[in-house]
Amino acid sequence: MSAARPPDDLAVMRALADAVTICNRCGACQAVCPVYAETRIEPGVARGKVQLAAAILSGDLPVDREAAAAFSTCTTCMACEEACPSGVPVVDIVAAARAQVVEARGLPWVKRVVFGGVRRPRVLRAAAEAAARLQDAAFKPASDRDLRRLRFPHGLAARRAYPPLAAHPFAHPGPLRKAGTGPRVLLFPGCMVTYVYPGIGHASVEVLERAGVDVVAPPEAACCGVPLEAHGDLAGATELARFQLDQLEGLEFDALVAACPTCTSSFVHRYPRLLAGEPRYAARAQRLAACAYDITSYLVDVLCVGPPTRRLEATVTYHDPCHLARGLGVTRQPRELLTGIPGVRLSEMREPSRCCGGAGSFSLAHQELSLAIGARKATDIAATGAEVVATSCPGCRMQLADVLSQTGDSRPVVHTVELLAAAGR
Amino acid sequence: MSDDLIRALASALPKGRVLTRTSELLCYAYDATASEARRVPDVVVLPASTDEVARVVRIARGAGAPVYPRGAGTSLSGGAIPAQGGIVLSTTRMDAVLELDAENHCAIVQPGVVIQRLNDLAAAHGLMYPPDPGSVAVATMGGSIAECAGGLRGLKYGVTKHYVTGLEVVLADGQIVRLGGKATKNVTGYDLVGLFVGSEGTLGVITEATVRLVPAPEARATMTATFAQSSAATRTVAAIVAGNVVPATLELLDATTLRFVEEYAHAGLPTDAAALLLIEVDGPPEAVAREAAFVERVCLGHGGVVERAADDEARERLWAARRAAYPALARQSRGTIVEDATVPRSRIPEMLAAIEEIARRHDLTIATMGHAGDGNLHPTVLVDPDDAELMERAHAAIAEIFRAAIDLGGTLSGEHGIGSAKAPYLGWALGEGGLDLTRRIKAALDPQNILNPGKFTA
Repeated sequence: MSAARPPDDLAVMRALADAVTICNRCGACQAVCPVYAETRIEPGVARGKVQLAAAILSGDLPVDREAAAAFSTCTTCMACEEACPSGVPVVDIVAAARAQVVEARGLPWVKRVVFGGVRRPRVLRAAAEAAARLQDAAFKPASDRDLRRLRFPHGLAARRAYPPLAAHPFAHPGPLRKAGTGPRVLLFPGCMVTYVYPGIGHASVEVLERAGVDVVAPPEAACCGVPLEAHGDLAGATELARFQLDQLEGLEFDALVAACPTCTSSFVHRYPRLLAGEPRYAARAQRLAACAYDITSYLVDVLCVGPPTRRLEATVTYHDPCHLARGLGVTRQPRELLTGIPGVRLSEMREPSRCCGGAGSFSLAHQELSLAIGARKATDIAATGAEVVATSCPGCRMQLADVLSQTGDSRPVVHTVELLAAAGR
Repeated sequence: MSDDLIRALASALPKGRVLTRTSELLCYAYDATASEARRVPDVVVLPASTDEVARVVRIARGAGAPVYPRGAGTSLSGGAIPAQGGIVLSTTRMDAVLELDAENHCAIVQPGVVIQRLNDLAAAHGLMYPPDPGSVAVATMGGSIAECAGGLRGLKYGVTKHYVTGLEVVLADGQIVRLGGKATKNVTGYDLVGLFVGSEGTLGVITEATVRLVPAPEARATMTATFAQSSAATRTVAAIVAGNVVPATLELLDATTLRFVEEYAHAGLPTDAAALLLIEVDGPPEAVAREAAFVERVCLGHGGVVERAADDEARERLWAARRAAYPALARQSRGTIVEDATVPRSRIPEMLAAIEEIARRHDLTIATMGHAGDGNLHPTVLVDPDDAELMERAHAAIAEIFRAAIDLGGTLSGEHGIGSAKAPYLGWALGEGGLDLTRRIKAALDPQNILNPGKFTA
């Protein structure tokens, strides 16, 4: 194919040109891609997307809305990367393509307004608090659990069931124990825990303090930036990365811990990469990366916590979040915590680390696809006969609650630390 | 022409099953063949039934447009690439297992069924579908039948053509024919089923297949043997088969492959070994015990260092080296051309020597692994598709490898097919008479040349 346009304006993607060429087009990704399992068309699967990236680089595919749409159908679950014989960094390529479209075309106005707010922590908080007050006007309770559906269903979100926004966002008041003998942990709450599931935040504080840890919180509950990067807003994501590093500068802590694996992987993987070229930040990003942990990994690998005292008679099944299992390699630790609770029996589901289809705003932008991927998860969960579903990600929790409710399944879905906290009371 | 064609297809198929955007078409421009250039089709269709396939073919015939049947696009000789534009017909929406008849040891499947899925269903009845190409987890039944795929069990269990007993095919004129069936013995007229197995989509579109299943072996024994000289390994292969033992798997990894595998997987392989054999015998427990003991004796007798798996975990460990071979090679370079020249088993030592000599002369890295038991080797040339000079050397070397295989009484392809990649060499294997017969069959069934044109029948 001849190059229709010299690719001299593709700086973001050219950085990944080598990564694109190592794809052998063997197609092994078809076996594991949750999107491909539903669509069974090649643009859905990693091989197709990597070849589209090659086509952008060769000038055969213009960087436009159509390209943006093609790269939007990916949950970034990383299953393809695990299956890839050639080690193609598919998620990086997808992210670069999305960023390239934004670089070339700018953000659509809705995203510009929303991300503009997300970039400013105080605006985000004010908006979330206003929305929490107003949500009863827009949402009605869904039938059987603490979820809500739109009162006037329309457009993208018509079928989805959402948890309500928290009336009181998670805000840790600062260290409760001043003894100073234990390790000091900065608990990074993240947006989902702060505004949707503050209970996960309180449970995190509870289990950490029970283990003798001094818990501190960052001054502002700002976004980690992943939602912006997922939509190609690299500038916004980088700005948030700098903001996080700035606000943590001068705080003393031994470890940074989060109950959201996407937030954790921001500190472990994304910030060092985003800020690599910035002398003011690069070294700090590396230092933070070295002390950032998912909470289950911190409890098991660093604190070596013992089992809680109270019995919880329950059969629990565990869903592995993509960004925890494949992103951070943490699968054993949450299971150890769960099975350590006296009375808890673990009943594994089929393919526990298969993507639930949530993937943040993917669940809105591709509602039908997201629900179809989730429906498989709901079936696998139902087949376990477990009474409780545990996971270690607030985003997965939201998606699992929704897809279970779609089939009238009222099994509770909780974060691992919530069960752990309950078993210690 | 193209707009009319697309309009006609759009009115013949339900909404959403005709793809025309550039971003969609670009994703059907390739298969897994590193040496073949991308070719963008004009349109992609996703029929969900035999009737819809027939409609597409009739429209194509009316328009004189090429039709390229495509399964998972994992073909390794360019078979699924739309060489001359036109219509890519994807069978991925036809993915029902229509019947699993445990009593008659057979299954009826639609073409888009993934091979592994059939195997998973068969396993529940203690049965298996033996053909297992490396792409078994993604490749479709339709594609693997059209290419007559092989795999690691070929020595004992044969290849795809030994398992297909019935087909439904849409011919180039849009007619639907049903050939063969569940009967395992069938000499009623020409072997029309056999005509379409391995026809690479040039004679018709496979829309349904009846395939044989066999009882899954009760037991198996697995071992690896490493040798200081590759001739010792190939003599071992000959001695095992001469002892009338037919292992299910008898795989060879050469020194170059072993070195890359060890670098990649750190499996603890001896890096000074010249060759490794992975051998698995299967069957009833008593036979497996007897055969495994024999194989082990033969390996030891030829100076092999043997490791035998005591349990499933150890078996997985031994297989890991073989499974890592492709990823290890894929990570060594930006591209790999996997060939599958095949020789009679007794000529393997000469073939290995020829490959080594050719690699040296063209200054190429060629790692050879393969199914030593059936003479089907996979010399894998490490290339960079963007390096024109390297690609030229690679193609020259590949041509010489084919020549060597044919001179040793072998053939161009054991299991990957001819497609476009090996089409230039077809005459070497078939001769003028064979080429002429091929063209006459093609002309009789597809006089307009609309089915997968630009491939080996061109």
